[in-house]
Amino acid sequence: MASIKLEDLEKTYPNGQVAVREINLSIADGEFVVLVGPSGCGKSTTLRIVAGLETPSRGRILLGDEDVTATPPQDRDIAMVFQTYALYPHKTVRDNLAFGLRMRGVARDEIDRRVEQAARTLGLQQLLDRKPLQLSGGQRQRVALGRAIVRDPKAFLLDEPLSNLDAKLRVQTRAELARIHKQLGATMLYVTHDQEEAMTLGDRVAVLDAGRLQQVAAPAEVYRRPTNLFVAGFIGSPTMNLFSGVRDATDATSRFVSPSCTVTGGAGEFPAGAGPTILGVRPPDIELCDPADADLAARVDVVELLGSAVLVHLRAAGTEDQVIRVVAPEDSRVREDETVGLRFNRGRLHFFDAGDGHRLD
Amino acid sequence: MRRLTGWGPVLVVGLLVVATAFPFYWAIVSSLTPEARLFEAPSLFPSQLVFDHYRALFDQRDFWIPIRNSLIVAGNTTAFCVLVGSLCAYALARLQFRWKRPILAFILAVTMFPQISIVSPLYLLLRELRLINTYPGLVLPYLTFAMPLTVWLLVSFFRQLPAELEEAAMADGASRLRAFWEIILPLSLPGLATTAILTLVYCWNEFLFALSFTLGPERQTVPVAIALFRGQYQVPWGQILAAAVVATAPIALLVLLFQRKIVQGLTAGAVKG
Repeated sequence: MASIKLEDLEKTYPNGQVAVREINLSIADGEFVVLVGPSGCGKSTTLRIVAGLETPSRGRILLGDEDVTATPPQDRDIAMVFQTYALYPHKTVRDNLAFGLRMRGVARDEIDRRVEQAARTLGLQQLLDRKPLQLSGGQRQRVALGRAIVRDPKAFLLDEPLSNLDAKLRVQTRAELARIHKQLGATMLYVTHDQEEAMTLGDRVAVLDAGRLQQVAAPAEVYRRPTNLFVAGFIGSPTMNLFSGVRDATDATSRFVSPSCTVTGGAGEFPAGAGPTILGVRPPDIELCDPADADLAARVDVVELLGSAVLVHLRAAGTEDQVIRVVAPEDSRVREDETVGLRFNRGRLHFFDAGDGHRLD
Repeated sequence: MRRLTGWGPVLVVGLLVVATAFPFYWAIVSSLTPEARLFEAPSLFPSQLVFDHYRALFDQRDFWIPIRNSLIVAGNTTAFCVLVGSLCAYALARLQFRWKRPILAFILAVTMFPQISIVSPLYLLLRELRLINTYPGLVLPYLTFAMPLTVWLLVSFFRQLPAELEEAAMADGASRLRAFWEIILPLSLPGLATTAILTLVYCWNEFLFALSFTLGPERQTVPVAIALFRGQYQVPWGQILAAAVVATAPIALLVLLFQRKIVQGLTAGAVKG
């Protein structure tokens, strides 16, 4: 296993489209980093550059201490798992697993031994003589994983490997992936558009938008302290509520005023200074309360039962276009069209500059 | 899907089969009819079967020689076409380089010359190269016509294969050529078989070049040999038809055999990842 380092990576396509800009990212040996972002944000391109399937327009890729920027994919000793699995349809599962070892000139009995071992790790022993078309989606996915782990490569690159599985299987395989990562101590770079996958799998999460890295941090950090408005809106489900207004925080008091709400805090509780600000509050950080001591009053629009909680959609009184989402305990007695008070958890407020969207602290 | 029922479809299919198969049937029947009776009373069901024409074909005329020539020329052309054409098509289908479209268009344009218009210049060229009346003297001109077909067919075939298969192979440590050999070619067998058959049939039946670029029976191919059966005073119809049967049967058999393979390849879903 080895570390991966991306330095000033840029990719501009011949038609002028910029897919990736100024990406700097270090992945430690044995670390699991998830690249997450909306579709078209450049995450797959970044992964393909690391694999050597695309050449960067600028920048360097280091695998361990070695600069592999100009190395063709077959000489990089990385393993890649594709979204479509890309299993060789004319080869049996055994031959699919053995292919990478065969290409590297591993001895035949060593190949057999390692294929058996990988098959055991993934529960594929019964399927070794089948062709990919005779397998279910989940089984194919495991073969694709097996093809990667059998080789003991320097790093694993995974491109949305779970997105073709149904919801239940996805959660199962996710856990299995985490187990394999732990068992092998493998360096993994994982691409997904699913922020839940990113949060559960990654040692660190790298949020990408429009080809740029927005934030690279541990999942909890990304959730608790999103560095800008994009990350705040992208990470977390249901999405964060955003209120645009004006903040006025002096030594004596802290105040945030928007058309729908007025939030006050103690001295020094809000970031110092005054000006146009966007206030973000996550749905679980809002409490339903008596209108008397509420930050704002809102009318209940829809109540959705999530199972262990309810998701309440409300519209703030006065501004009908501001939809507010609140996650409340499952036993909350809220009825549609009722007006309720909402109170924001003071320790969990996020302030962003209304101009550039950066987090204010 | 609604099943077609009734006699209508049966009739249509029956007519088609009869229309295509009849000439061949007629050739077989006539080739087995004694020369004397050929023009007397044409009969669909010969009363008397004789193998005189076939015997004459191989005893008097040494029909093995044109068959051998045709096999060598058509076989080599096909082999070259598939080998070189598949590499060329792969490059055009997958690699990134400039002028890809113009190159494809140019390759197609080559086939658009009427054959007759290039016979004379080709003859001069081949004479200069001392290739008249040789096997390469036929294989090379055939390649100019067969190769574009091969390339075009295979380019479209390779394009349907998911690029991720090769990318996976390369990530697995295979060079591009190795990935082509281990992954792309096996998956393209149906396409390769199709192009091979088309090339083979084209070369087997080609007449104009074969007539123009050969001088004597030692290098003449089957169609040329058959055409030259006719003497000054008589046309040996029986032998001509026997030769036609002998020349067509193996190729027809081969096509049927390969066709099975093509269908198998497609139904196995080899292309789907």
